[in-house]
Amino acid sequence: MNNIEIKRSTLKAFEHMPRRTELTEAREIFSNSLLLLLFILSIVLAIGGIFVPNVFQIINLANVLRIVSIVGLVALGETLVLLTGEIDLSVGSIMSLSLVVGGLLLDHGSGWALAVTLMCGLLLGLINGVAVAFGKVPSLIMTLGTLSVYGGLANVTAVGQAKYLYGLDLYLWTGKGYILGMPVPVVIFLSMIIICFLFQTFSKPGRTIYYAGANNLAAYYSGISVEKIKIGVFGLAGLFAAMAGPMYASQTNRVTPLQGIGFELSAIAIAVLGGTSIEGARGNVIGTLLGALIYGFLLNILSLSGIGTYMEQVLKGAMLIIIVLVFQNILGRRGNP
Amino acid sequence: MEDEQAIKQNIMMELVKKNALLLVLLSLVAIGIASSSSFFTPYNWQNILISVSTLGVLALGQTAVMLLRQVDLSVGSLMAFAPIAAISLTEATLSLTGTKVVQGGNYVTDGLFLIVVFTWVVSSLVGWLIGLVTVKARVPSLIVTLGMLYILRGTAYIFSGGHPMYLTRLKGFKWLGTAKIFGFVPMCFLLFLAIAIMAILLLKYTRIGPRMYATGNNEKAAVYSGVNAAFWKIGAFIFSGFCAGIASLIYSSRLESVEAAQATGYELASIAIVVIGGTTLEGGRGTMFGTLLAAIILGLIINIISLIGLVIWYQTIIIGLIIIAAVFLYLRKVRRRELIG
Amino acid sequence: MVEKALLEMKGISKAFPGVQALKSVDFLLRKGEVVSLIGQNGAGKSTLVSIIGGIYLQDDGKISIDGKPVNISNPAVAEELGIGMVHQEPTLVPNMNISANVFLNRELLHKGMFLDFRSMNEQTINVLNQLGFKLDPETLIEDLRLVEKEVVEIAKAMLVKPRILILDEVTAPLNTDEADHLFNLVCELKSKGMAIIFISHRLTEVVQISDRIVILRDGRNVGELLREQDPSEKDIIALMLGQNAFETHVDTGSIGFDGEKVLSVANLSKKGFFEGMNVDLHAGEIVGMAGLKGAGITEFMKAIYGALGTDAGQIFVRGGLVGIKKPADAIKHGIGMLTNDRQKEGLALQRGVEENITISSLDILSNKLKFFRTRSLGIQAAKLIKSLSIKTPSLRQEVMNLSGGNQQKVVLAKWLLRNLDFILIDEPTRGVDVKTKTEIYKLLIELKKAGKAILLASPEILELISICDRILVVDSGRIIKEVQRGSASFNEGSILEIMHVDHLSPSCRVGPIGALI
Repeated sequence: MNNIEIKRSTLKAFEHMPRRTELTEAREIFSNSLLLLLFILSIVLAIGGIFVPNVFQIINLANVLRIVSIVGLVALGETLVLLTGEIDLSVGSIMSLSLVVGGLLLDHGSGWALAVTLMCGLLLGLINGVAVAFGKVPSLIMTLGTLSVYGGLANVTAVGQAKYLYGLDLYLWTGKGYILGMPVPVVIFLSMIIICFLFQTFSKPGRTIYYAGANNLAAYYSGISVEKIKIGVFGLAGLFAAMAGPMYASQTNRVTPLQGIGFELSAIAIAVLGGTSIEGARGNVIGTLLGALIYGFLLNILSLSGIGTYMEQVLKGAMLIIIVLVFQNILGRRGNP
Repeated sequence: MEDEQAIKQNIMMELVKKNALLLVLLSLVAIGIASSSSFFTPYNWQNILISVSTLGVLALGQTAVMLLRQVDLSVGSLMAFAPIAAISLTEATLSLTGTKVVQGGNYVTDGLFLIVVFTWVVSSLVGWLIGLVTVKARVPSLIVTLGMLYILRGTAYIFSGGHPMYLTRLKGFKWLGTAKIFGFVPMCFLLFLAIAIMAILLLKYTRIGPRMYATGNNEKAAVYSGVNAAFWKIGAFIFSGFCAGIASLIYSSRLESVEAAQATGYELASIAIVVIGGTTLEGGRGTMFGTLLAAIILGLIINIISLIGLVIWYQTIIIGLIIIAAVFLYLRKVRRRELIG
Repeated sequence: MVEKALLEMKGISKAFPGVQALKSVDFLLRKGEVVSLIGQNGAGKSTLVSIIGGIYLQDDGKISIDGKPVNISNPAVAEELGIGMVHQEPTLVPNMNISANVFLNRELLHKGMFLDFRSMNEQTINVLNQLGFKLDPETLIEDLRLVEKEVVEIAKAMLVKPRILILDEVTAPLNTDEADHLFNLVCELKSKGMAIIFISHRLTEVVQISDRIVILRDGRNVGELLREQDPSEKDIIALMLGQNAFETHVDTGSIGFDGEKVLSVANLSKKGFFEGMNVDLHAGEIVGMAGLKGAGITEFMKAIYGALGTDAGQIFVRGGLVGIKKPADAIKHGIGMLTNDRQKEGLALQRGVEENITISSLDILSNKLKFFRTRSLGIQAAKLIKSLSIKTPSLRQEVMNLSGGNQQKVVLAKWLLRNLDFILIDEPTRGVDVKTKTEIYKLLIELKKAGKAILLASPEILELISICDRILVVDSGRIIKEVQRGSASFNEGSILEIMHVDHLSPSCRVGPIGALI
């Protein structure tokens, strides 16, 4: 009796919502499953290993993991924003601007430079958050605007020049150093993932992110402060982007205002690859971790096989589209954009 | 009497609101005159009109897309990709007849007609492709066009080998960018006006209008009434691509060169124009006429910025701020109505 | 003489994945007839009319119109056949005007290309006049009231001069006056020879307006009642449920309450919505609020809850003044609210049952460090699911898959988990099937007996009569009368009278074939 009643109600739901059948439920479980991602990762590594055995060289592995962690950190922030049903296109520009502003203090030593970089990122992210949460500006437009504004400010501040990082050992260490035998970026990335995971699963604000992302209004009526959540995630996105900045800049020993370009693309691609939905309320940070690994290794394999930088750009763009196409459609989605 | 005063004030407010764009335009002209003596020279005005034409045409296409709740971030890159691809295609086609299109390194010497046609065709086809992926594969237009932004830019670099191509030796090519009517009004501006007027008329007086506005404002209602939403969405993207092609021709014709890095950031400028003109991302609200005025407004702003001597990056900053501010203001207007109703 | 059938459906069956929606249903419709289609949620009513409207195609069975077999493969074909359909929620384009909406996708052109605004406006005015409404065709949809939007929807359907008009739950969002207006309209159309299929959950109006009532249950046509038989709601419900007896009586417990004033609202006002509202709630009582749609009751409740700002007035909890600026504040003071739109304001449909139930109680279930054990959430949720008899296959089941009644129970559970002392409910049984309705009433009585204070608003007076201790009648933002249980006016008729002075009971006393014009 119970099952039949529920199926009847499913019928009534047809008129207003997309259908749900046993097949959709199965797909859903599979899409939530991190097993799928691990599976994809192994395939990528296996096939890549056959064609480009260099992949498994220690030096290469260390490099890849470094880059994976850097981009993954930005993607982590983006994941949190996406979960609330918003989007942040400005993470790349936040990285550039925070790097440049921090770069102004390089003469005072790595410590100050790094501290200012982080604060700057947090602040820029919070600006996004406040505008979206209180000003009610759609996040698409807001972050499109700040992408422009922050990027422009970065260039204006840097006056078109680069600042070199020679002698700034602490700064360079964030990108090139090691902790307990592992590259610093990897350690930081993993720690952030773990912290976010614990936060998400066990703390009150963490659990309410999904609910708020699913239905802002219902969350409000249930006593949840959706504003605080949104400001928080945008702030974190900015902070993480700013964290990743020095790590990235260290790789080339210099800080330039154009270093953040393209990170938003990768961040979104990795988040979606990891199972986060653009519409919000679906996805989790562990998925982002695996997504970053897949993305990173895929690009590494492709570049090891000798495609140029331009081709890499083309492929990144193509991957974004394909990833969203596959993950949003084939693995089930709700409603229309 | 007090009532009369109040009524007069209300009418004033209404007039201001309705003609806000015109007032902004006029104020900008005033600011321009005040900020530089070279503002009101024929040379400067030609510059303004030319950049208005390029960005304006682009914005017309973007308006069509944004009216339907989509966004097209690829138009800037498309402006670089289309002519470069067109040149490659022309090369390939004409090599069959033994004509060399590109000579002496990077000078394009032949194939004017084909290059122009191919630019158009390629850009419209790309628009069509974007429309397909957005509608049929149901990938959000934000993602598709963001991805295409990189794909097209990268491909443009690959096709052109990274170096610019010069069209100074191509007879007739610079006509579009430099020709003037009455020795003063740039031809390209007239082209922009022509397309704008056509767009305004089509949207206001033919079936295209209601069907597009319906699709953008409440797609479910439109579909229930039998409107083919997919058709209109794809059509809007084709139009956007088409406009990008025309804009690229104006642009390249003016500079007499084509390079893979050109028109970077133009997609943001086009969105800024659309948003100033009153169309927001919610869909179904906004007019082509607003876009027309807004194009002139942005052209004035960009011009004043460079007259004052600010570095080009300030343009980027201002454009970003404009996008945010314009949306914020328009949303407040809509929201106030919601609260009362 | 029996009039030949206009529409005849024989042996219609339709299956969707996992469920057989219609099982060999026969259905008949004659010219100038008003037939109501009744059934519980999921009985198959919407499916049946969707087939008539061309939205679905039947798996089995034949349809004929005027004796000729037809194949209604899509809405356009249905339109050609003279079938007009009005959906429950008006699907109109807000930013376009009435005329543009009515003529959407069938715009009138002159010179083959240009929109003929004048003709479209004229025809729109004509149709609206026929329906008895005077509206400026250039008004934007978003500026219309709900009933006017419904009228525009009907005008749209009327434009193709349908012979069959389907009205799917169009009165659900309307109040009594507006519904009356609609009924008069239906009578008008009927007298002009139109056949009307009317779907509704509101049995009172169904009884008044129908020539025939067809009841569906579990996808089958289980019978019909004719006007001549003078059917009562009990008869209808009996057929709907397949039982002979039906319990409408709910034991309300003792009249009266502990007398302790626990929640007081003093002089609450909001310009344009309500003014000078004074309400005192006592522990262990259920207070009802009755009024027409524009009376401001919904806004008043939302204002108490903090979801709507006020211009003046105060709220006291147990004698102490409290400031409530948002729902979170209200919750802190022990007030919970079920609004009249649970899908938009009460639930996150994609999330699971457990999450929706526990979401407002995370702070009391967590320990000092704001962390908590996930298992305890599940246990709490399961307890409530059991005590409220919420039918769900699992804790993680997405709420969107639950029936309306069970969804409503989930929202109630959310507040019960916090053991709140005051509950505000707006339209407790909207979109809820009959069986669950009774369960909810019983639950509310139990809560009352446990000492909670409940403020209940509902457009169904009978509902208020059955469980409230007293009813406040609201008109245009003011409380005009309070009716106590046990007093002479504590019945539906009197309360309706208080609500509107000139209330005429609508009904079409014309037979199936009226004067043809």
